[in-house]
Amino acid sequence: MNPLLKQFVSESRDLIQSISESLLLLEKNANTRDTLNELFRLIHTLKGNTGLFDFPDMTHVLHAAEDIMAERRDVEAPWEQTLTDLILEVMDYLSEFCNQLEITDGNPVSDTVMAHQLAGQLRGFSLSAQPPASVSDKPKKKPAARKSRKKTDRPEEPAESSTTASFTESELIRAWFCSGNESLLHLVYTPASDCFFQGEDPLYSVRQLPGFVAGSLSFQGDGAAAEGFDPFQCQTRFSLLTQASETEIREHFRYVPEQIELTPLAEELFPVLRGDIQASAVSEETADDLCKAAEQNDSSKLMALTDATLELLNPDLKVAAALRWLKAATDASDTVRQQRCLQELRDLLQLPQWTFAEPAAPVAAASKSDSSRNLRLELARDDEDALQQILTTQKRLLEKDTRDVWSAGRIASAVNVIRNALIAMQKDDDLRRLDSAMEQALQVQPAALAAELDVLTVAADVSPENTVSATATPATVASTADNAQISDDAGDDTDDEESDDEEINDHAMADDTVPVVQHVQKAADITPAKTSAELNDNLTASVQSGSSRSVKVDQEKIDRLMNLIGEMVVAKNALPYLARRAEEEHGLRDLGRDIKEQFAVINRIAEEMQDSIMQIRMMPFSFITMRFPRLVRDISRRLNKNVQLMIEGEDTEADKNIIESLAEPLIHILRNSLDHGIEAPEVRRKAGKPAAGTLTIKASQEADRVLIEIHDDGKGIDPEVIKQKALEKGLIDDAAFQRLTNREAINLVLIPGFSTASEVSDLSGRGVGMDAVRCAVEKVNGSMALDSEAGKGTRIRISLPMSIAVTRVMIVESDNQLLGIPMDQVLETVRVPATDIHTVKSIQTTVLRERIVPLRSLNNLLAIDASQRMNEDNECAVLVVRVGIDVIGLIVDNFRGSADIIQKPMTGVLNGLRAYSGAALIGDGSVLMILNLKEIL
Amino acid sequence: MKNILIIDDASTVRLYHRNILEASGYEVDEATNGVEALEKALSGQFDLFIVDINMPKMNGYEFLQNLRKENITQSPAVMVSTEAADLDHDQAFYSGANLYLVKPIKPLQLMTYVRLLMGEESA
Repeated sequence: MNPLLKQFVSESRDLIQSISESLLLLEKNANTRDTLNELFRLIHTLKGNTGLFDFPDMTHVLHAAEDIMAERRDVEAPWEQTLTDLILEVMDYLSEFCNQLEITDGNPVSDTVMAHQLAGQLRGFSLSAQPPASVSDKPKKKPAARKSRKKTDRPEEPAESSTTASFTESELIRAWFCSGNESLLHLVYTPASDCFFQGEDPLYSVRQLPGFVAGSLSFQGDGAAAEGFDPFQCQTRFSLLTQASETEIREHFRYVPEQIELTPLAEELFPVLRGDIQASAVSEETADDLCKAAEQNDSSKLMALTDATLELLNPDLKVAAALRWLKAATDASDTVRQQRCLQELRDLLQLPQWTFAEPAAPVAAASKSDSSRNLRLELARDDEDALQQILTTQKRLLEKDTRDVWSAGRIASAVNVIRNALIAMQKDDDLRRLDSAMEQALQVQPAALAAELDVLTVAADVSPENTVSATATPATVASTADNAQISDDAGDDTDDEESDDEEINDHAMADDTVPVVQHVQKAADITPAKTSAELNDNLTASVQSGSSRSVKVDQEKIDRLMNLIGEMVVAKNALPYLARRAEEEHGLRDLGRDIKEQFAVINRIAEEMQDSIMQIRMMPFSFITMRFPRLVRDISRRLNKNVQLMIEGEDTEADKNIIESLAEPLIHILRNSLDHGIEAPEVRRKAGKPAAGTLTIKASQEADRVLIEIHDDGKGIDPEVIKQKALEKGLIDDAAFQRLTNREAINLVLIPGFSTASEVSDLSGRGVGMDAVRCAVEKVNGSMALDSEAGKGTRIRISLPMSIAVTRVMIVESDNQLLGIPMDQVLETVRVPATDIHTVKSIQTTVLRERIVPLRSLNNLLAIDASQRMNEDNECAVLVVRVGIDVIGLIVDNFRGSADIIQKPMTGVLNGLRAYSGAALIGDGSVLMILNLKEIL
Repeated sequence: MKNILIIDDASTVRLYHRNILEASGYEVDEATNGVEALEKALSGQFDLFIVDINMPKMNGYEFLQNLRKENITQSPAVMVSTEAADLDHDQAFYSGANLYLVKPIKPLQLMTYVRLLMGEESA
């Protein structure tokens, strides 16, 4: 995928997330202005981005959303929850679109029907009285009052008629011109879903359609039915354009008359213009030229002009669309339709009055366009147009009220720009004139500067007769040295324009003479260096408050760094051995000492490095919790429950992998709590609890572990029910049934195959249950425990390592081998005298703190044919470990302390050795195997 | 080499403009809001600013007013926005924008203006 598109997808996802967050915030605090502003800005940015690509569906929906938000921002109105729902739905649609983009590598197939539906629904929330523009609008409404648009209006077009919307522009153009004077028919053919069994072949019928011009396919359903798609049912709808007569069509479909729908396409529907509106896109002169050529019926000239203009235009503009239609009309030498296109084009060009050219009345322009004008379309024209626009803009800058504090800078920049533009166009004469005008302005007559600009606007133009010359008036001309040269051109100015400009001039003279001089002087005096010092003081505060700098890095790169540093940590540990060898084998004490010293330095650096790299991989817990408010809201609304979600400690950090692996289990737990834990409001009220349930997620850090606690104040878990169920399912025996404490009973839900929900609901209880959660947690060396009190609620505690990169293991010795056991499974190490070991029912046990602990010999478990060694006091070394909910004593030969290791997964053939979860290198370069206790016990 | 500062909160738009400008051999820097932009304008020399309007912390108008008020630089500034209707062009010029363009800006169009504004002869 191209990088720009990649950026787009990634940014869109961020924006969608932020929009969802803002929406939820909005729902919580009613109508806060800041949130509304923020929401508008986010949607606006997202929409702006889509404009860079050709994703009309996305733009369409976002445009509607933006309009609604603009309205909400400006007008005080209650916020409807249904609007939140709708915008969230829109965000889901856009997320899907982004996914599509990624999957299809930039060629998404988007659901146009859905887009229009969403946009329609959005418009339904408009505060102004107008009803929502429904997709099924009848064509009659189409070409209404376009000219009556007010300046403040957004350039929102009436929704395109549904009869034409499904066709591309070129299809429509073709349809229009091949239809001749016959009217076109729009045919919607919806084959019955069981048509394949009736011996019909809809596609064949369509291909045989008389007078076929264009066609498109759509899905009959509402877009949601993509799952469970049945290929034996016809679900296609055909939208077709034909120039055949109605009787011909009816004859063609005579067996299925009820499946077709015919609509004549009225002539006034055309031309169908799509695209963005940008008025300055085509200059008045070009439009004039076009009309002129059309009047003179000079089609070759008209063609040349349209081609040249199209070349320069952004093809997504509406003006460009109009030009393409015009071109087609000229091609077909259809003068009537050509006129229509020209009219549309003119309408478009007159649209908003914010263009930079002085609002010279088109009438005047038309009268001025005499026959002597010739068609000059050199490339230089483009530059000249741009220059023209830049100069007129600078003039407007200079004419602005100068009472504001930044006017000096404004004027300075305008002068700078004029100078630059003239340099760029190599207009040395004008440059000299500008300089002298500047001097004059500074000395005597500031208005002359503005006036000089008028002169420049004239001089810069390639064709002297151009309308823009109308801005040069006798009044301004008189104030310049070169008036004689200009007066010829400006001679035929109308009175109207003259008075306009005089006004400007007077204004400049009377009010602003002094300030302009001062400001220009000020602008010239102040050096950037001087101001930056002043400004530094002013800005430091505001600058410091903002701007967090961050870099997005590919995770692979960090992983690689992590692996490398892991290897380095191990490699450096070889140095002490080397030092010892130097001392003992070669008798080089000094060298040994030097190596040790150097080792200390490398050791420190390596550890710091490892620490920093681990820091890079750290992510805040909020990375996953930010999705939760939306999730909880959606689920509780669907279940008609009232739930308040509290998240604490969101900035607690842990390794990226751990944070990510936590997302699914946490969502599962949340669903469980919402579905089975928290009761419906009525039930809660009866139980004397507040109607709104509370769900708390708390993250905190304790030493090198991250603790996550999820607590709900729902109905809790009944240990008796659990025990009963476990007994039924054969997960425990009668003895255990009697023996288990409440707490142990509750933790039975973590055992595989246990699911308490008696029926499977849509939200949770898909049969996976809590053991899936436990598995996910244990996969990253975490552990979890459940705690519940009937009627009061449930508390789940999850403990996770902060980083999976480094694991702490207990090293034990057995049959002269070293083996590692993850520290978080180790409860304690004890020495048990051989006399304290009893055999009960052929199982070795011992009593530890009044509890019976079964003992297993490690050699035995690993099928090593050797008995465990005991120390001189006849004591066995017993490592008490917890596996699941069982506590077991592991008899080993000896304890060898604990170590931090970087565990590498077993690969290749070794992967089949289930007894080990991985291997690691330890300091002396030997390999330490890490036991997978769950497998061997 | 000429330096251009792109100020926009949308990273996609920044990348789009950056691609165009860098292809023509300009040095490009970016800022995501007015505050960051001012900071950069203070510490570096820029020959042109391309400024979005709608941004968090400090919008385009405010940025320009600060830029012009302190006369940090006389370099030209182009204001860009998604829609014509968005733009209060009077406000833009009043704040000291030397040009106003509607996004998306076509590469050729952008280059023409950029060249003229910075006073470079056409190639």
